[in-house]
Amino acid sequence: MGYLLQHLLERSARHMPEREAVRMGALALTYGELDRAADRLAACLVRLGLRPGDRVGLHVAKSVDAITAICGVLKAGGVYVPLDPVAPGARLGYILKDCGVRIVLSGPEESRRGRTEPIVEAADPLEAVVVVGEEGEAPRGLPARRVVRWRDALSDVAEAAPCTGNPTIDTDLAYILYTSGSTGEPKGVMISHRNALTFVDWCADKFRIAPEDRLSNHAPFHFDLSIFDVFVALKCGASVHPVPEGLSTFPMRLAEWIENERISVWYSVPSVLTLMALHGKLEQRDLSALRLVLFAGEVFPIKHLQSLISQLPGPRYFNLYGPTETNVCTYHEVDPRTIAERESPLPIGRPCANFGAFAVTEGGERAAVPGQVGELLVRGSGVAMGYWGRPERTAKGFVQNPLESRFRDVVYRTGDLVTSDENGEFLFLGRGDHQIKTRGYRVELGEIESVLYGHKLVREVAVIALPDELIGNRIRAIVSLAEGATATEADLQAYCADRLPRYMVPEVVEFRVELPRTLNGKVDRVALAAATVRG
Amino acid sequence: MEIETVVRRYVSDELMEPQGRSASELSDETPLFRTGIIDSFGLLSLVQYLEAEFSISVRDEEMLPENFENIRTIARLVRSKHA
Repeated sequence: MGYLLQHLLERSARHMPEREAVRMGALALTYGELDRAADRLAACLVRLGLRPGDRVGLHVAKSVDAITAICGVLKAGGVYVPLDPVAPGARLGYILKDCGVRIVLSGPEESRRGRTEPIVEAADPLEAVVVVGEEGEAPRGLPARRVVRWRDALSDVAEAAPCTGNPTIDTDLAYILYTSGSTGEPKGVMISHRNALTFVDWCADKFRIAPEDRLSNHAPFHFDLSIFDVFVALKCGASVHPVPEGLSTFPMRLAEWIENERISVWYSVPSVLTLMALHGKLEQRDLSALRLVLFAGEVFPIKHLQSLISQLPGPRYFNLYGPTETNVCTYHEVDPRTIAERESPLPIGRPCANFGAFAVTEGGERAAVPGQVGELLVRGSGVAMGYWGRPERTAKGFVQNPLESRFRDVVYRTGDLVTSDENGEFLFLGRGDHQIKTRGYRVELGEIESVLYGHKLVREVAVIALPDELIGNRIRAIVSLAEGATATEADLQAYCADRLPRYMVPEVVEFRVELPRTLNGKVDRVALAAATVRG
Repeated sequence: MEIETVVRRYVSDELMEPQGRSASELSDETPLFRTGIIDSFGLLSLVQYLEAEFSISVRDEEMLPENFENIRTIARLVRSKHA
């Protein structure tokens, strides 16, 4: 048995109940404790009316209890939907409505870090909010018919009920991750238990994660890097160590934390590693426990990677690649013998176990020769179930394998343009559309444009991305206002910040009377970007 | 101009406005991290600004929460460099 994510926890709890499963500062839970707490939470959720397949919002900062919350939802047969506690209320409200969430597990008011706007309107309250953590009041922005305190939720003793009666199978959904949508609304990527386990099993095997390992958890739960941290640890009986909020702001403190926690496996976006390489004073730290450094989400600028490896030559380094729709689907191990001489970005590498990845040219042929460019298509049991409630979008992204006409074989079109090198490894070249990465987050520039078009004074807008060494891209909006209208940069930024997560708000808003056009009448983005670079 | 005023202006115009936060509640004691006003990339751009504006050099060892807790502690750090 082991075909659902919660089985990973249950098995480790059976075999090593006394081992530490999660630790954050002085707070820790053993596998036995985590499993019992999650059982009780599951029983409480069932009592609150949760039925198998129901979506449950997870509105929590990093904590030991957040791990209990994730496991409890899965044990109850629910589908967890992570929400960024500092995202604008309107966006979170949209997500809750979009996938029909009626129960939310939420940190206390403080976890919203000063955000006060409502997520859910008082006129249309949630069914229930469970306040995660020992103290604090439920957030005012999340009105609910019932509010359950954490200690009450965890004192539910009808432990056995949810697990035995849970009819979930491995193609049912485990979680939904919302990602930027080009048409202006975020879309929910549906991940089944089987999808997630395909990735988790590969990681456990490839990286030989053992009970002695100590995994960092840097990425927030709405970012799929967290799947590795939480579920690979649970599968292998290792411990997961959530990075305290705010600590990653200070590169030296972060390096100190890695030393003190004796982290052996680190996984994050490259920009966090770049910050530590530049300002972390790594040579002063004893990071000898660290044996693996994994990164994903954006291109690692090669000179910063070289600097990191020269300061920290001990661990093995892996570049992992994959959109949310596949989680990680290809990987490349950094070769320590040649990395110092390398000038071009790392390859994204070869497919992980049980994944197929191949490139198809514009003409519909398989790109088989090194140097030939094509769109990367991915097949396998890790490929997501589609987008929640969006059959048309799903049909566009998840298609029949164009090279297979004899049986049903769904592939995901990544939209990423790749070629292969002489070793047969894939190289990422760029995209054919307006999707970019900033701080490892995936952003559709069209979504920002669509928000700005909603502003009554905006006549026309183009949002462009300017490449940046540290964070990947910086976002700039070029706006032409309606005749006679006046608005300031701050006005439009505030408007965006009420509707978009922080990393999507344009850093600069520039005003123009007219936007430049190409010969066929489209907004000339190339000219806009070039003008900006010239200053 | 007073150091506090210069720092306050940078924090409000460059860090808070792009997040759509109103700077009207910003005082010299407003905590900058717990509120998320400054994140790791904001910290770096602030440090670069301070270095250029006041002709100082901030060492990595000084990029600590106690020095960047609020506008007052940032101004104290700058002043200590000038002393």
